[in-house]
Amino acid sequence: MKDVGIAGYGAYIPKFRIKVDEIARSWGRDADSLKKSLCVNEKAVPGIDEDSATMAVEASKHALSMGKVQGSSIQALFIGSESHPYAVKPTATIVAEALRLSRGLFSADLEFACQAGTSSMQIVYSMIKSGMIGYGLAIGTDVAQANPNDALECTASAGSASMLLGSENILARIEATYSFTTDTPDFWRRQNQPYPKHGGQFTGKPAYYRHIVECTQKIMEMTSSRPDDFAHVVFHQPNGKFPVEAARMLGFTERQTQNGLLVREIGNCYSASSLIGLCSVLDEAESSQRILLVSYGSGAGADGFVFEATGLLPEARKSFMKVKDMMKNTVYLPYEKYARQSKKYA
Amino acid sequence: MPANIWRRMPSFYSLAGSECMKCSSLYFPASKVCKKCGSQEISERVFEGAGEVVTYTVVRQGFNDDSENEKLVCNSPYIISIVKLMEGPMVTAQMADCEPEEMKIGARVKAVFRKISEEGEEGLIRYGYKFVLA
Amino acid sequence: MLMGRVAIIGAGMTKFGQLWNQGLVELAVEANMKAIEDSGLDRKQIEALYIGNMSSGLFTRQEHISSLIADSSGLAPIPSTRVEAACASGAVSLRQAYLAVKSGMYDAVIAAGVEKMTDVTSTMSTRILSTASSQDYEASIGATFPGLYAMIARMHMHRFSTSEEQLAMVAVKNHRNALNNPYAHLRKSIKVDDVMNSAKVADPIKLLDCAPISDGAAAVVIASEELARKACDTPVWIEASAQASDSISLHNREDLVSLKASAVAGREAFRQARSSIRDIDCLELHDCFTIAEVLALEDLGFVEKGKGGKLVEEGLTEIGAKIPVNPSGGLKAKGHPIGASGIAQAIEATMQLRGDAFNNTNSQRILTHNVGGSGATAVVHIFGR
Repeated sequence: MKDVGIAGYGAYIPKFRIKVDEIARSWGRDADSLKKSLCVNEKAVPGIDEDSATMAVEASKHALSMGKVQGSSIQALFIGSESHPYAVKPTATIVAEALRLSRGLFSADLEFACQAGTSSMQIVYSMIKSGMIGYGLAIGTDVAQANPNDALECTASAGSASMLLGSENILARIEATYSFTTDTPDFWRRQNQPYPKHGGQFTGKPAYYRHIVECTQKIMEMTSSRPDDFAHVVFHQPNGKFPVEAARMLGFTERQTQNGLLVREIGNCYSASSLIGLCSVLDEAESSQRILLVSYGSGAGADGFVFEATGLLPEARKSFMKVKDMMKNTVYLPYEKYARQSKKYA
Repeated sequence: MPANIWRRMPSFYSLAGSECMKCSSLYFPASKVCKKCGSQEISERVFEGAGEVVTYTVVRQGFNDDSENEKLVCNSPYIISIVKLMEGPMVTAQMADCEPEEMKIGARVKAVFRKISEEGEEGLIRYGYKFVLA
Repeated sequence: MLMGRVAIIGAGMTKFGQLWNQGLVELAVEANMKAIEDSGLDRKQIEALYIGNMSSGLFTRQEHISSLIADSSGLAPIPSTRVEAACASGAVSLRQAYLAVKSGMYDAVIAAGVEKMTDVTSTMSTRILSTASSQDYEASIGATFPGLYAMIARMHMHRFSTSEEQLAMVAVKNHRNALNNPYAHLRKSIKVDDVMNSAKVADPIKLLDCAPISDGAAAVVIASEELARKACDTPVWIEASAQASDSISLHNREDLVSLKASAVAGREAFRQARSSIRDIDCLELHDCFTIAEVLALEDLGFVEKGKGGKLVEEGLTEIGAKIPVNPSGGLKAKGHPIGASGIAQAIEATMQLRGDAFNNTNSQRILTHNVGGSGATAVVHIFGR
């Protein structure tokens, strides 16, 4: 069967940031202990006029441009988010229209907590692998919601990542993908509720760690890999502690995780979290290096991917801004402005 | 209203204007008749979105508090600019992610996709172009 | 085939301002009645009515005001026509009335204009006024009218070093002129500092750079040469009536610091009147914002492009100086009930030429200039005695 992989990628992180210190100050909480327990210093905040659709468009423009692929050649667009602008009315169509994609388009909005971006990637991957389509876009995008004064408010951020998948001019070949899924209610948001609830400590061991570990072990077994076969490892990043701890448990070193670990500076952009990490890894990966990506979605599941960077990657990304450079041009907001901009009036 | 937003999507979403097939004049928004030569042989032309600020203003008394109609999705005050696109035509647009002090005539800008307005919390969202400093 | 001349033989207007006791119809009727009375004609001699009005539907939810006003004025069943060209609605109404008489169809008609603006909030009226620009590509993205003129002003300042103080001087002068005008909305003396320190609306335009939101109506009786000579001792002749159009959006214009429609209408008016700027003694210019008066001075050729601010600063547009501009107080201080403004300018010209104006300029020939939107319509009239 033909190879399928990433032919272009793009991340989008809004310009604005708020520091955990500032959030803690406004609620009269102890910033140091919050930062210590979350291992997050600041998070990305969207502009007042940004949402999951607008960020997805910007990330996708970047991906299409890197892949040198016209919008009219894209035959599938799947977009994962837990902050679709409408409850009923697809985000996919908005993004497709803005990108002037082909009208012959397979598309849907997905929701699987923070995992829906990688779910999109599995769908598009399968379609290309089966010969249904040539090129497709898989997007993870979120303006993450969190209740004001919940610890989650210190991490819930905004961002988007778009993966152009195809079978030609591949920059990173998909070797394998696997998903581990159980019904584990660690985090949820009911219909018509603005903010999610979570199970506190329950989000750790039985939820995040179990799914990440089981998924990783299985996909390594499928690909006959050992931890040191991977140059780069990216896990979903709900905070700065979980992915580091999971990596340690699985026998990965800090060197393997450092390129993809962005949560300390940008927070947790839910469906985009692990995919933006992947973009950052692709900015650095060298030809034939192998990359492990494992996302996590509360509720719960984990999607694993193993990639191998091709010789085309270094040349293709050359004229594009790296994720880490995108993160440099930032403006810090005071809490009042952040609250107004994110429409939090609580 | 949905129909009008839908009808204008190519221009609102991707700066699609027009080009006269006879004299190559470019228009944004699209013009069904070439204003220069009168030709009706017109084809769509999508503009890249790169350009520079010709003039601008900081609107301090705008209609973003107009709750009866579509509400602008922007901070207050907001910046409106006339941008000369690289290809030639000019366009009036809001600036995004930008403070008044950062603006100047001649500044290089690029188009981004943003929320423009919404018909309240329940209504349709209109998306379209704004510009950011390049 | 166009034979006789056409004259204004009667004029009447309401006070301009926040007229809480009067609605749209009452305003229009008052102006019509005063104009007919001033003309000395019997109302049965009026053969047609033209009404300039920008947006009665959005301001008062009343459309079909042509017949409503004709009937309420006791003028039914004569034909009545509403004319709309945004802020130039009044002058276009005057022009339609002029053409109707000039054609030989009628001997006496009324050209009126009315706007009732204060029944909505100021945010809403800003929104309504913005319907005079492109809805899809200007207004709906947040470009207010002050915003559009502010972008012109900034460009003018950038290109020609026009200063905010020079623009403020336009307001100071027009406020001073309005002090003597009992019909004016803003009869209050102001200084340059007051303008500079007034609330920012759309940089560099400040509150006192803007014409106010006013209610008001104005009407003139237009007559054929034969009737005018019979009915009136002091007919005011309409020597030119010219109108031009341009793109509704500022961004589609070749030059952002010049209103081409003003220049084109001005040239055509001088051609019709077989005159030039040297023959004009006084101007009523469209000063919805202070920058607009500067643009008009330049576009009509009274000063070289870019030198308008200097002309104002040197005091050459004051009453008694080289070329008095807006002795009535202009839109800026007399008030700007949109549809009525063009007619009120003609009334000021009439009073000046009859010699009974509140600030007499002893003029022989006066030019009026009315603009629609950010310059998509411009109308220039020249009056003589």
